Amino acid sequence: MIEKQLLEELLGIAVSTGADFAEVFAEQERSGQLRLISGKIESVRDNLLSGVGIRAFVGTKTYYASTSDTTRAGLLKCAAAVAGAVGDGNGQTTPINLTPDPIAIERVKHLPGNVETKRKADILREATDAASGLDEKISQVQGVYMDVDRRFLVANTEGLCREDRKIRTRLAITAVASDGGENQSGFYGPGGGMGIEFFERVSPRAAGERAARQALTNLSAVYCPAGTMTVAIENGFGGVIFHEACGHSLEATSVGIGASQMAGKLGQQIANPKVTAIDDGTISHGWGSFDIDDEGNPASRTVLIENGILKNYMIDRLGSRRMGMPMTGNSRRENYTYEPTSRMTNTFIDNGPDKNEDIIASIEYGLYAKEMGGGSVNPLTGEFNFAVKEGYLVRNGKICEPVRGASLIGTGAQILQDIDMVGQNLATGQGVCGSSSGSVPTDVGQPLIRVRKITVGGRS
Amino acid sequence: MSFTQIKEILFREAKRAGLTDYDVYFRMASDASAEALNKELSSCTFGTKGGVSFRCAVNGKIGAASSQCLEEKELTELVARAIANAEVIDADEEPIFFAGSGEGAYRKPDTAVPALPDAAVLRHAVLELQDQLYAASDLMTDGTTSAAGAATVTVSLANSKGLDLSHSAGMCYTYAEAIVNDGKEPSFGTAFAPVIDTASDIAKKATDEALARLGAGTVKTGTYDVIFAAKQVRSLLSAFSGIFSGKNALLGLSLLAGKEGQTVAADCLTVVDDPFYAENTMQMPFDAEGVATKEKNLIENGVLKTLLYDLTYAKKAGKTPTGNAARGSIADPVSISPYCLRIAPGTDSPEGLREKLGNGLYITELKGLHAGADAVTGDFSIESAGFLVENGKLTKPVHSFTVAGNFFDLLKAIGGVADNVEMGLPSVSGTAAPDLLIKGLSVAGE
Repeated sequence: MIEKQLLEELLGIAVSTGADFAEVFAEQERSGQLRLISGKIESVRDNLLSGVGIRAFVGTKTYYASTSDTTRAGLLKCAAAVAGAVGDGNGQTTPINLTPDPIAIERVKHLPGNVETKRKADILREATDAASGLDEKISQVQGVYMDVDRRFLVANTEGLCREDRKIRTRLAITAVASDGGENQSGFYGPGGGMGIEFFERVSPRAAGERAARQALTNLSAVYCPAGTMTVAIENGFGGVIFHEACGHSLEATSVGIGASQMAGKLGQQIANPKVTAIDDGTISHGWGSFDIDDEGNPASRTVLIENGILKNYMIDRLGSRRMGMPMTGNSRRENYTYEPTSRMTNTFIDNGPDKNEDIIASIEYGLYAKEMGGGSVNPLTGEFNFAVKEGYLVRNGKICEPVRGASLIGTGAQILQDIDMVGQNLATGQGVCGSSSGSVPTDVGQPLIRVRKITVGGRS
Repeated sequence: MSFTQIKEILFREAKRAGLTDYDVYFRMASDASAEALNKELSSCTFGTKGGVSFRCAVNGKIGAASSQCLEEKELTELVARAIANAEVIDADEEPIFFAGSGEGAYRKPDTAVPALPDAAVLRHAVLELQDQLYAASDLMTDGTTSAAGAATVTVSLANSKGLDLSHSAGMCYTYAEAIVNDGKEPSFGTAFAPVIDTASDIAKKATDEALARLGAGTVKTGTYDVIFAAKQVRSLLSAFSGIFSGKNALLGLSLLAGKEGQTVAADCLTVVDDPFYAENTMQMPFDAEGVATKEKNLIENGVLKTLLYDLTYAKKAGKTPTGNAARGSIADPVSISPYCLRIAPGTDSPEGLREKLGNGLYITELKGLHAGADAVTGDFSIESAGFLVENGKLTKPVHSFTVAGNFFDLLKAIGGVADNVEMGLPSVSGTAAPDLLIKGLSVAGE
């Protein structure tokens, strides 16, 4: 992407004014997106993102410049901007010797650029037709087929020079059910770290029907009652509860500056002993997987919580400097315009000791959250929220009528103790996580779990 | 490469390919910012990114392709990619390329584009703010952040009908986030100003907010009258802005469909879409299709006056285009979006509005609106924090509860509009709003 000699020159300039470390990140990403609405493909997005980010460190101070101008002149200007911000230079550049280090890149069967757009359109149409055809109350279906071919290179003043290439494909279906005066929606968005062969694993038809079924369920649902109750949260995207309630508070981004409820708690029992939680960027073809992170470190599997005890954090280079702990291969960014920071990859609560049927049977009165939506958290206080997209009331151990419009709120520290049953059907769901380094694909996951007591936001 | 050079290459290639209807949309953005933490500079960043999108009509369909790589080879390929992409489109949307709104139709904003500050200016601003924050309270603690920055953007649009428009805008800001800890729990407060000037009172505002939140209690589940603070009214307005899209209405995705001319809100509510709001430095005289932008009332004294339209959906709906064609980035297809969506001020002071409320909740924080609010159904259930209001006075901080309702019902349940219109950070698509009193919302707490 950039020749070795020029990389060495750029790094030399970046550390010429007093920085103790510098890094060049170069990226080219081709992304495609087909959008379908009312049964017709209405737009094709076809973009080449291309640019470079150069970063220098002085202790825990960072200096970053990015540019889409990847000509030699543009890159030299970018490096000079970093050096100029660090301080006044003596005009002398430090010699840098890079050692290109090809790492094993997980291959996919079909690169998006080698597949005809029409084939992608057919998959999209199969999914949306299935959604529209499920019931006459389905009044609108929107579908998106997206794929990304991301190539990047990282080089730094420690001599590291590595490249990676990641392919991702996702289908997102939104169905609206209407009975005239009222609309209700349903969503399903499966994705993976592979090309169009992803749809050998996931049926587009089933994906469309799943979104439509959720919209129909919500149309027949009554508003969820408000109050504090016992809640069972289903597997897959239900894992967003750990992502929001705890995951963000274990990122060095907040821990490293002391603005996390989880700072200083290593080795402590922070969760119910039934809870073991893992961040694993190495899962084969995972939505949140990669070979190297955006600082060039190999992806890794990090046990965050083991039997309720806090074992580790997710740590990038800056976090490592701030916390005096090793990096964990979690440094990520949306693209070169962002400075990277510690982020989750594929993060999940592992299978536990409880049988799923026992979990539902144990609830006298409560909520069964079958599908979750997104949420957010303040890592400082651990206060989190997320939306229930498909829920049912549970009475006397039986799943009863559907309810809609619910959200769950609480604090991470409390809910980790209150997860008192953990089932055995671990599955993951795909999301896009937003934070200071932009939006990155992340998997969330868990088996069915029971939360003893949580505030359910609904109608009083 | 300059826009003129890019345009020449793309127009040449378009003609060579036999195209007759096409446009070139170019955006160049630059920014500079710095942040400080724990009394030290933590980061300083500079960015420049440019990109171009080419759109064309092929057999009555629109094809598009975009690139940040502005080398001649890539630009040449862009035209071929756009033509190929048109082949899979099957929507019956007639491509419309616009000749222009006419001489004099494009208002010239009187806002100046700021020069980007250098590292020394930014460093001084953020460190000075850190000093002010730590001086403001003995309880100030790690994680307390200050930031300053500026951004500029130039948008250029030229097409085969002879349209050739260009406009630059910019903004700058300072931001303070105070984190205080009284030994029992941490609490935070934030404030910003649209200037790089540490003489503003944002350190004090952020600190006061953080201190006021300490020791927050809970609320009982029930139905409450509430006042949303201006900042949170802005968040709600932003989360539900899609309901004003004429495209969403036509596609059955907005419950305002077919309601133009009808009462959709309490008569004290007027909502304006304003590309030239005086407090917003990011003003845009033309939209993504080249139509001149203008100020217009969307809701006037409770009556829905118009939705927002681009060229395509105005034609489909039999309406006049409102100049609201937007592109989120050069890669995104044309969509419909408001400029500064603002609620006109009412007559009550914020204190007067609280007296009108009597007993209820004053909501100063809404979290997770991207997940907890559904613009298609109008339903929302949102994690909230704020203050208890008793006999018209703020009494104690409360948190860890949700406020739930339906936005379309909420519009009709507005019981008062304050006169304190506040604008968010300058943005092409921003919001400005005052405090609003809403009757009868569901609250889930203890």
